[in-house]
This record gives sequence, structure tokens and C-alpha cells, in this order.
Amino acid sequence: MTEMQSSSTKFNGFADLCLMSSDLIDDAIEMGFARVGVLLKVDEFESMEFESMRSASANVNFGILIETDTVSEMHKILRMLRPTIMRSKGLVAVKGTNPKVSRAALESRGVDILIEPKMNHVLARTAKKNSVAVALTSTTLLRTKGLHRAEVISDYRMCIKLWRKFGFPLLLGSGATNVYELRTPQEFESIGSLLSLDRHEVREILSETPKKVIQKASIGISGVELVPKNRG
Amino acid sequence: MITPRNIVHHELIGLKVEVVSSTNPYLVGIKGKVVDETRNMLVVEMDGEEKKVPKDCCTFLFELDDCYVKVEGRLLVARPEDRISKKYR
Repeated sequence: MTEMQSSSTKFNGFADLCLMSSDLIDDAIEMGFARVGVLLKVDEFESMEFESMRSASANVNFGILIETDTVSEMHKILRMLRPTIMRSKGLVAVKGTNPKVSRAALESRGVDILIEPKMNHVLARTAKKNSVAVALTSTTLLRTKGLHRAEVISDYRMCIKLWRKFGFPLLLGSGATNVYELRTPQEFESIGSLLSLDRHEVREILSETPKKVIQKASIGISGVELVPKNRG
Repeated sequence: MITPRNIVHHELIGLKVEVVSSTNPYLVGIKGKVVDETRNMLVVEMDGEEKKVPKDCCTFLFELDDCYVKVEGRLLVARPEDRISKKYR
């Protein structure tokens, strides 16, 4: 079992853990990502066979995207799907639709990624404490325009400011539902520079943080790490 | 069977351990077998001498049958009999 875990969490290169469709796996890998995470809606995740998840390429992590307006609904879905998620070592992502859901997601057991919350210092501290990654997606930038886009950029910049102060895990992802919304790692570097991130920070966000998120999802506890027997 | 998933709940006495990082640099490199455990300390036997290592400020590398597991000491801070039922995130 440990052998399987160690091989499934090992990768070198960039990762995009916020794909929203399983049709995009090959395209994302072709674009230069070493690892991709596919977040499926609840019904899609339930209908997907456990075996087909395991038989998919070793570069793919499947997960569930919970998009709800109420905290109780979120807890209900988490409770319902916990056995499947534990068995498949899948990622659990929650969309930060409102501050209450964001806060509950950061405080609940088993959530790995919070997508696009409106961050503040309280959420940032909780994210750091519970090692829940906060993901910013390029699709939101692409789909908005005008004043709304300026607001999104402002929110993202605030999130990055808090990331520098509190050091919670931060992810950059595409959030793509079709091939036109996919972006290469180099384009993420450009998006990062728009959001006041330098090249090294973007590289850390695209390669180191996803490794930690996948490791946490695989082992189930943040702070435990597998080291191969033939180290150093 | 002890695995990376259950190591934080498991009995640690008898496992081979190494301190790989710590806020106290004098503790880094302590390596040996865990011979006793309290809420805040691990007692490690190293070259016939017992060294007391605080859990909270160290990162430990435990040797299991087929792999090494690096564990942040803060996860281990609890009495061993209470750790079994402790919930982790």
C-alpha cells in the first residue's frame, strides 16, 4: 500500500489541480503539466466508477467539486461521499460561494482545496492552521470583463498579499471546462506577474504546493510525508 | 500494521527514529530507537544513552518496514493512550 502511495504522489514539474472536465487531461499534459487534478461535480463523481479512476493515467488525480450556498448542504455532501473519497484518495474542493461556506470549508475535516474565496485575515489564518489550499483560477479572469474583472484582480491581489503574510498553501489553476480555457505554465507565469507574483513564487505555486496537496489527500493528514527508502 | 496513514495514532516505542529538523539545532541528528514516550517528549536511545527530545519543536523521520515517514512533531503531542482517538486534519 505504501508503495502505491509513494508512486502516486511523486512528480516533477508543474501541476494544474483545477480542471473541471476529464476530457481535458490529455490536452493539459500536452501543454506541459506533469500532473493534473480533475474536479468533478457531485453527480459525475458518484457515477464515475472507482476502477476507471484508478485505471486512468498515473498523472491524474480525480476529485470532487462541491458548489453550494449553504454550510449544511456542504457538510451533508462531505459526509455522504467521505467513504468514496477515502477509498479513491480523491481531492475535495469547495467553491467559496459566500463567506460562511468558505469559513466552514476551511474548518471542516477532509477539504483539500477552497476555490476562489473572498479572503480575509481570519480565513487566511484558518487555511494555514488546517493546511487547506486556496486556489485562484484563470477562467474567472477570462469570463469577466470591465469593472467586474478589476474586482476579481483586486481580490486575487489581496489573496496574494495575505499568502505572503500568513503562508497558507496557494494554488494557481485554470478551472477550465473546455480546451479554450486551458493555459500553459508560461501563461500562468504571465498571469502571476499581473497579480504581483514573481517567477520563483509562481513556480513554487505551480509545483511545490500541488505536491503537498496531493500528499495530504493521499495520506489524509497534513504534516506526514512519505520518504522513499533509498533517500540520500 | 503500522503505515504512514496510521503512524500518528500508533505506538511509537520500538520504532527507529531520527530528528531531521528542529528549532533547537542541537537536537538535529539524534538517531536511535524510541524507548519511552510522554505527552511532550520522546526518549530516544542513542549509543547506549537516553536522549529526551521534545515533540513540539521537531520533525521526526520514522523508519517503517518499507519506507520512511517524516512526521511533524506537533501531530504527536498527546499522551500515547489519547493519540489513538485524536482527530487530525
